Amino acid sequence: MLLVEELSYAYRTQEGANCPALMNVSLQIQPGERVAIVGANGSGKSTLVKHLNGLIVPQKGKVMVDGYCTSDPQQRAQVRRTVGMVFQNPDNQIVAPTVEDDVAFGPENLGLPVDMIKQRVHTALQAVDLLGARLRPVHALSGGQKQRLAIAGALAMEPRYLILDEATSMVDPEGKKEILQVLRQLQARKIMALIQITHDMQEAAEAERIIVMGQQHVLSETTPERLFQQPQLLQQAGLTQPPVISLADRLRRRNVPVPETVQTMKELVDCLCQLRSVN
Amino acid sequence: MPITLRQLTHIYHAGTPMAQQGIVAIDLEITEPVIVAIIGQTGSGKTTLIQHMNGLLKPTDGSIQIDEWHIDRQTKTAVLQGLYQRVGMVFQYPEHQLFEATVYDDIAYGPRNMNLSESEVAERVVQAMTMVGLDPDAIRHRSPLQLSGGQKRRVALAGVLAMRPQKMILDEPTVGLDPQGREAILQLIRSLHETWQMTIILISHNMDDIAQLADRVIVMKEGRMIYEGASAALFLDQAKLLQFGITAPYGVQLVHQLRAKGWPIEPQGLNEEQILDAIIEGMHRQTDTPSSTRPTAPAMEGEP
Ligand SMILES: Nc1ncnc2c1ncn2[C@@H]1O[C@H](COP(=O)(O)OP(=O)(O)OP(=O)(O)O)[C@@H](O)[C@H]1O
Ligand SMILES: Nc1ncnc2c1ncn2[C@@H]1O[C@H](COP(=O)(O)OP(=O)(O)OP(=O)(O)O)[C@@H](O)[C@H]1O
Ligand SMILES: [Mg+2]
Ligand SMILES: [Mg+2]
Repeated sequence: MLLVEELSYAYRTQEGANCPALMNVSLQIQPGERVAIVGANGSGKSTLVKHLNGLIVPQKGKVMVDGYCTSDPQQRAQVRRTVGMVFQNPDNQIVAPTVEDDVAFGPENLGLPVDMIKQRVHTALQAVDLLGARLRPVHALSGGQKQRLAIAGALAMEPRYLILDEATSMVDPEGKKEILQVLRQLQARKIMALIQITHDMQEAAEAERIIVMGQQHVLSETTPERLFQQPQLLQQAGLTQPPVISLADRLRRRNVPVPETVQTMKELVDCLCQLRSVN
Repeated sequence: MPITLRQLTHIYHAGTPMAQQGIVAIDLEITEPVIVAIIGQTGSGKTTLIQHMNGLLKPTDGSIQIDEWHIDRQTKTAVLQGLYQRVGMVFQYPEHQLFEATVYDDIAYGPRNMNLSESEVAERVVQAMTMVGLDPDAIRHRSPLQLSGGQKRRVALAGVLAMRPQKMILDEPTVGLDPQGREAILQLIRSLHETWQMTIILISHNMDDIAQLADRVIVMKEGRMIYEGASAALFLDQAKLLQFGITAPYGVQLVHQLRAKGWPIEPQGLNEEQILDAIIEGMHRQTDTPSSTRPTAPAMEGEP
């Protein structure tokens, strides 16, 4: 379990001022869960998840990862191994000169046998469809290829919790679907928890649980169904309805009686067809 | 004069063992003013293509004509100075264009290079920050690299807006923006186009952005341009979407799925009202009934 207790954190800016990013945040994430973290720009999402793998440590409060305390330098290696993270900008985590070396870097540091490293690199590159670019230098990758590489690097570590900080934002929709499918399978088999920071409300709608951040606080911990029926909360948190729910809403406003329970494209299609056949 | 690409080709590290194809033999005319979107898989050549449109990259073969600039492999960088001001570019990763010590200086960089008075620079900076939803007082003294991801994107956008370019090239401009911020930026782009006849060339993986904004779409695949045409013609044509492996905007997906169930729907365009109109019309119209004989009011239907 990831346990965050009364966590506060402020950045020190270059001119010496304090910039509060998190104030008194408490929450829990269970193994095997699928959680989305959403909220306005600057609300503290990235700062929060950087605490979950010990990249930054609490100034107040504490963060525990499967019983290990991120503030204790001696437990931090275990924390990093347990929680994998893919950053908003992949340049921050690409370390080796070629694609293959970069993915192998983490597993090598774990001291795994060579065969196992090869296997993991292969599986991870396959998941992000970069096998063909295995031998390419990393600096010669396109923006989206770099994001794919960063995901492969994290996946090869086989973490118990994987955090994606807008990690597929520059991958084409079909590629994104394929990558998320692999990750979801791991999550569905409870091998790995999947924690996604995203501005894509359709993606957030597919999570089991949503954490809504607003100005250094947790505004709400809820389910997608509940969140997207709360216009005031959405407004306050800088969010919008996901496209499918918004379509359903606009149809309702034009007197098509689509029930509020409709969440997915399939449900919307079925419901419209039913309405048409009774017409 | 249209932006004209003739056999435009760019091979990275050409002539070395590391040679890597960027784009190949692209022929294209873009008639201005227009909003054009470029889509395609990761690595298909989108960024390479647009970097030729403000002289950041020079072709290794072929040429591009943009306003008075003709650029081919022999063109000297020195003659392209004015082009950078004419055509503003927002990079895929904002970190690649943020380098000054403060947010203010970063946004002021472009205008200062245009030899404007400091008071005019100040006016433009504040205006640009407001346009992208940044509070000028709260963050002007902050380092642009010590901001959240979405804040960085906004600073990068503001830096280009402050130059008031005639054309803008936006490489995934809404990535990293929160949902309301995204809508505000889309609206801003549309109004720049409508008010100032600004030409906008944008790359996006968000098909809803494109449906809302773009008149025309270019589809890239493995360095080649495989489609160029009206965005409605592309997205409403299921066969083309399948052929190119493209996901439709959500509203259009709904149209295609209802069509697959036998609904006769023909939206007039991609905007939400047009999509909803078509769906509601399709609802009241049976598959084989010509539209002229369909009942006009749904209330009639219940009668024996
Ligand atoms: N390195 C830094 N130095 C100083 N302040 C920072 C730094 N990184 C972030 N901040 C500030 O901390 C606050 C929270 O930032 P954070 O990156 O956690 O937001 P976020 O929710 O991830 O936003 P986004 O959606 O834009 O990525 C913001 O006000 C931001 O300006
Ligand atoms: N600096 C470079 N050196 C060598 N090859 C490069 C370089 N930049 C890009 N490439 C290669 O050129 C091809 C086109 O890349 P480009 O960046 O134009 O793609 P893109 O369509 O913008 O992709 P994305 O959506 O991932 O940003 C890719 O195969 C890429 O690996
Ligand atoms: Mg962030
Ligand atoms: Mg690109």
